[in-house]
Amino acid sequence: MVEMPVETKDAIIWAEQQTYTDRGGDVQEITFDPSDAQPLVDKVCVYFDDHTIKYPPFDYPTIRPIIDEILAEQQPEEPIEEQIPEGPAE
Amino acid sequence: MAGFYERRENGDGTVSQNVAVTDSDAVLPIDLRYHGMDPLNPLVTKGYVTQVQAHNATTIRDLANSDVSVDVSTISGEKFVIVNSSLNQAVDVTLYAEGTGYTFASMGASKNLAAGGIGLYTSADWPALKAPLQKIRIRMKASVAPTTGSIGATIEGVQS
Repeated sequence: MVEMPVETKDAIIWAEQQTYTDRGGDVQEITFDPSDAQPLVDKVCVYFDDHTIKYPPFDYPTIRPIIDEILAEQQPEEPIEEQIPEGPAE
Repeated sequence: MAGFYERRENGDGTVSQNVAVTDSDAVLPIDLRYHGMDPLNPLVTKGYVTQVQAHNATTIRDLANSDVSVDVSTISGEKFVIVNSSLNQAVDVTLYAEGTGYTFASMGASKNLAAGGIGLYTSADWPALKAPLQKIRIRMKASVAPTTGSIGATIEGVQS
């Protein structure tokens, strides 16, 4: 199992806020979409390099559990159901 | 038609009907390939075309072989390999056939993919891509260790 740096979560959060230029020259937002994982992984590496953090060779499945953790934290809290007082007995 | 069958209306206007199934296994025509998708290795099917993921944004940083083996039994006949690199160094791409009774066998000479290049490979590059194979192993290998970028590889074809 690949052991990722402790800064990986910060790197992913930063990377998801960045953009990249696709092969057609258009600027695209980076997302967590697994079918478009390369821009995200590339930006995570940029974060590591910019912060001189050493990292092992990895791929998208390696960081997927951390992405899931971030997504879970971003989920809005369950709304508390309002207690409806019982009406008078018919 | 009165008396042909009995309607049993509920108070809310719906109609109930009892169904009895005895000594029978229910068999539903469900293709589990569309329900067992692995989010880490997406299998995308659009029309008759199906796609399987091999390397998924793999960051190659050394000179070691980076191998991923994928099941291509869902693809009938000709397969199309797409390798998308954002690595800052070239890599050699080699394909191996895998199956029952043999570990893996080379499908031919490797192809060199330039730094940041995209490779679209067909049976013109590896004739065995026409064959009905069980698995294909894709190997990426750099001669100079890349320091940035990643590589992705997918195989597409007509679903079997």
